[in-house]
Amino acid sequence: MRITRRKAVAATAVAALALTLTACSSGGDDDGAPVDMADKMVGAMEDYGVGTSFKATEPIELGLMYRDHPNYPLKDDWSVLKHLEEDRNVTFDVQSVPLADFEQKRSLLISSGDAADLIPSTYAADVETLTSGGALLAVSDYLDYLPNFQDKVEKWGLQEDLDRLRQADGKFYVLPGLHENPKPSYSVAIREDLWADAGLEDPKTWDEFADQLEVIKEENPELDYPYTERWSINGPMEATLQAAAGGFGTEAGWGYGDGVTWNGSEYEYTGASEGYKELIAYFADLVDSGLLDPEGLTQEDDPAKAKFTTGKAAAIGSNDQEAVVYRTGFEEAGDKDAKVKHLVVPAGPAGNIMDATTGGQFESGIALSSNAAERDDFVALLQFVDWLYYSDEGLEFAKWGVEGETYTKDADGVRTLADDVDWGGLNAGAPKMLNTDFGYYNGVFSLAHGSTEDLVKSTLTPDVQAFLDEMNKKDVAENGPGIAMDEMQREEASLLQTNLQDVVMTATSQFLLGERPMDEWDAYVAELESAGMQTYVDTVNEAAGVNQ
Amino acid sequence: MVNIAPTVDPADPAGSTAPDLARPRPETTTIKDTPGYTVFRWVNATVLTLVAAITLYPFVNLAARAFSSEAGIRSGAVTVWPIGFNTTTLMSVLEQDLFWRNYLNTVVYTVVGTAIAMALTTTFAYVLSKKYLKGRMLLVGFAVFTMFFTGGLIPNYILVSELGFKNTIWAIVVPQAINVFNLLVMKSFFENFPTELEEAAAIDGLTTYGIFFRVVLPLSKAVLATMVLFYAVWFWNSWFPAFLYMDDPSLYPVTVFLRNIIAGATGTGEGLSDIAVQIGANVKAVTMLLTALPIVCLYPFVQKYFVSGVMLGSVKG
Amino acid sequence: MATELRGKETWGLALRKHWRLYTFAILPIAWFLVFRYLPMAGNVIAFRRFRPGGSIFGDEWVGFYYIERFIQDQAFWQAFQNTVIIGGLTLVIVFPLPIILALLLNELRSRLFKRFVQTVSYLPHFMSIVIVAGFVFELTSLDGTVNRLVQLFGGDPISFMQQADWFRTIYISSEVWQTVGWGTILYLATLTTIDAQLYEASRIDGANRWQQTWHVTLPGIRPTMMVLLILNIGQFMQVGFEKIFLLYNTLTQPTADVISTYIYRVGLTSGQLSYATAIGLFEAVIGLVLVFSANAISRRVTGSSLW
Repeated sequence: MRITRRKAVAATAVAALALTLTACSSGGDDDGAPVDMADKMVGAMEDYGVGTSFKATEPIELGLMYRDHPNYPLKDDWSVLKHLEEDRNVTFDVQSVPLADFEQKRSLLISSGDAADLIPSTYAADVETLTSGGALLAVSDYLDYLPNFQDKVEKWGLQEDLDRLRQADGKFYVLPGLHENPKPSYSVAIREDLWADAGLEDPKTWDEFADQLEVIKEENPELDYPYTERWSINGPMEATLQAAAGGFGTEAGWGYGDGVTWNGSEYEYTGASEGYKELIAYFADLVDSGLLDPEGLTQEDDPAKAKFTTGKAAAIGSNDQEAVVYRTGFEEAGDKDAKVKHLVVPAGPAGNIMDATTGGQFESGIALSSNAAERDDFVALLQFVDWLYYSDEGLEFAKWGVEGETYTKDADGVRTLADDVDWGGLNAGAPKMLNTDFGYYNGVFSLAHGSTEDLVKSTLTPDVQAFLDEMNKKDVAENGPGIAMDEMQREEASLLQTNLQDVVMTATSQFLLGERPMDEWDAYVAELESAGMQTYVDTVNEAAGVNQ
Repeated sequence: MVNIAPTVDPADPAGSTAPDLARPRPETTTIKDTPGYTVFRWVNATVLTLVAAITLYPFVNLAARAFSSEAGIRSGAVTVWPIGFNTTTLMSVLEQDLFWRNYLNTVVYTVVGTAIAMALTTTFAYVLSKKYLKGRMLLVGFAVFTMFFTGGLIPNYILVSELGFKNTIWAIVVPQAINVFNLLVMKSFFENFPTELEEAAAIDGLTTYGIFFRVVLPLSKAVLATMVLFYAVWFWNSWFPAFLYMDDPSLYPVTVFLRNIIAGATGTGEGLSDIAVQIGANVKAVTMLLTALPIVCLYPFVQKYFVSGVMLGSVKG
Repeated sequence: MATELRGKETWGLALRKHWRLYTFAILPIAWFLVFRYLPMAGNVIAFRRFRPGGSIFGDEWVGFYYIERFIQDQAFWQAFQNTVIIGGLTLVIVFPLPIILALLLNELRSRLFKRFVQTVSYLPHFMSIVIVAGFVFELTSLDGTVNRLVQLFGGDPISFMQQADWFRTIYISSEVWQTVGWGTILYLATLTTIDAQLYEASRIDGANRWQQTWHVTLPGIRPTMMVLLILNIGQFMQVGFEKIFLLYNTLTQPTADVISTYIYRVGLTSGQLSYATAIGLFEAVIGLVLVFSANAISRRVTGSSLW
């Protein structure tokens, strides 16, 4: 009898603790209805709108989930923080998350309802599965408080893209970083001098590129391989696969995403599509014929770079910033003849096309925790977000800093970094760095490289600007309708897609490396089918409202 | 339950009669070794030398890398000696305030964590070791069950968060305060503690508290030292709780600092509007070296305690 | 005296008599309740749908929905298979090595040399997993020592950490490096307790060194072996999460993904905590079943057991 009593006491104690826990953690039930904002005006500007220079009417402190980058760790005395405090009355309560495990920790913080008010450096797809519990704010309910965001969406014709972000409940939860124009960056860099010696011009198509590699190989017997690759840590040459995919009418590499491609009338599974097969076959053939370095599909970036800059390879995967790094590499090695050309991505069998992701105008953006809506300075918070991430003034500040301190601007609007400040080799040799020492041009505060064409190009060298212009002449693959899955569909689909993607990624490596011959393609598609490909595609099409 | 009992004589706190692990096997030297056995001894010595060499190699290689130039490492030729000797990386890491602050955190977390863990583990193990105590088996089961069933990540996270432990030392030291395996080892030790000593103390008028603090603990120095070592090493090396519960770099232990450097170097293609991360192999090596160094240096000194102290050896079937 | 009363003793009497002893248990019991049992209540979300940010005890009952789901989930079975393989390899390779090493050490006559080898071989045990993972990356990188050896023997460098085929070898090797030396300590301690007279007796019976090892040494350490074996079997499914988490990537996932890493990924990265919890429960049940069966078999066959 006494035993029972003791047990009962223990059980009650546990239950009591559990209750407290629930009570504490399940705060604020939301019914989705727009909240009355009258009592959330602390610090807010009455007349805030496009062109208004935001300054909170009284100091506010916002919670900020800070993605801490090991290359420029957060410093309390950064100019960006100082100016936000002095000029905008905004300070931060920082929730620091190291880049290394950012996604996991962000997921944990959101899932447990502990995330800070502002969650930047976040793509809509990153938090898609985390919205159902109400931990994230449906920002689409508050667009009225985001005039600059709305203005840019309208001006740049992004309304349709924005609607595609809407989930089954008709809302979206992330404010994407916006681009006035698509900003493709990745491609292949070649040794322009070797190409010129061989009498070759920039390749217009991938087939031409393959023929040229053959020539380069013959003309330059000292090369180990004419072409090597990088960005292969998590999968083979993911950057170049993505860059090339559009021309083959598919999506691949980093752009593989949800694994479905719109074919004009319905979604089909990317990894089993004809375009994906052609793309893989093309690069597998390069490997097979000794033109593409097989190590390029697995090696780390440093050795890959070294191969290129020491003249063991004549072409390599690249982006606009890395092309500069290669040039510096040649200079350091004392190789004065070498010239690096960042190629415009060649066209493929499907045409001169960019895949929808590369050609898209959304970048990583910012999500808000639903706790933010409970704040009495909620409106000021929204205004601040709108100003910093979407107003011309805020974007310029976040990227370039403060005129007179970090940069100067001439009559034509051309910005020049201050003498003692460098960024990305623009002012090589200067003692301070715009990001490390001042905190500007930092993905947390500065979305999408500054969004506007003017700001994006302001840090680009003329040849990169030319690259960008040329790239933007390409067609962009059609984005299908939005895929708004309900909770059950998403749970099922996300597991299926995880499994399918594992099969695709493993097989892609094997095909490329020749470990598996291309004629086993059908067997591979059968594997996908048994992993639930059809169910997945059906679910996607259903959620996208495609009639079959 | 687990009968891993220490064979240390509790009456001999200094452990001078504790079994000596380095003691050679009892010799039957009256017989001359057969030729086969002599060959075996040479082979054995060679094998064990190799074992020692292989065990040490990663440390030596690490040191060599830490003092090599980036290009030297890249050449793939660094083995036991630096190539392109450089100390600039070492200096630049040593100059980082954050590294030192995290290092200090590690020391504090280890000391506090070990103290709390020892207090809880020792007292509970003592209770569990009293075979006459009613409810003892219940309590043992109560503890052992948690070796297999645990709560998920989120409930644990929310618990720590609701207790207000986030961003405090308590998030690291409290939830890990009792390691059931260590608890069982201590329990076995106390079970073998000579009851006569305790009975004699009781006759002298000591209460349970008196017996525990003035008789049992002083005679258990060897096993206590071992447990301290186990817990200290655990806290020194732990990174996951800190990764979960700390939102401020100045509170990280050095293992999280290290993790961010090692993982930062492999995390490319993050898609954020930043340059893909690249941290030199050299920086990684230096940071690892500095983190491992205190243990490598202190270890030979503590080692003597646990070798004469652990003796978890004798198992009674 | 107290033991004689055990059968009849009531809680009231026990508490009155040993209240001081029970006070020692208050804090630890509270600790177990709060930090171990309370979070366990969260496991209820295996049967209730949890929404990220919602109630930690889930929003509505879904019965065995998540259990049925993972039973049909290929990736789960892949992880299950990997767990069994890696756990099995660990048991077969990593478990016996300390015994062999201890026996070899036991044959050494030079005290100094023996102590040296011991000291060195315990060292890796004290290294953080983060550092061990760092070692693995350094040694197996393209410019690392292992590839240098491969090249010395005329092979082409291998990107070990990017090839699924290599993962198990690498994982087991790092386990061997890290744990085998430390594993000997229990055996060495046991070896010192073997009665020297037993050796003398067997020698008089004409046994050579090898036979002595077989007939005296091994039986002497058998109980230790059994207890450790049972403990190892019980932890069979809990293949080191942290180490695999730090070492694996999407390329090695086909062989490296074990149940615990799968749970972490599904739970955190895809936000499906109910699903992950259902798998976690399953893992725990298997662990309990394994340890109980191993214990029962061991008790029957060898007479030694955990309890």
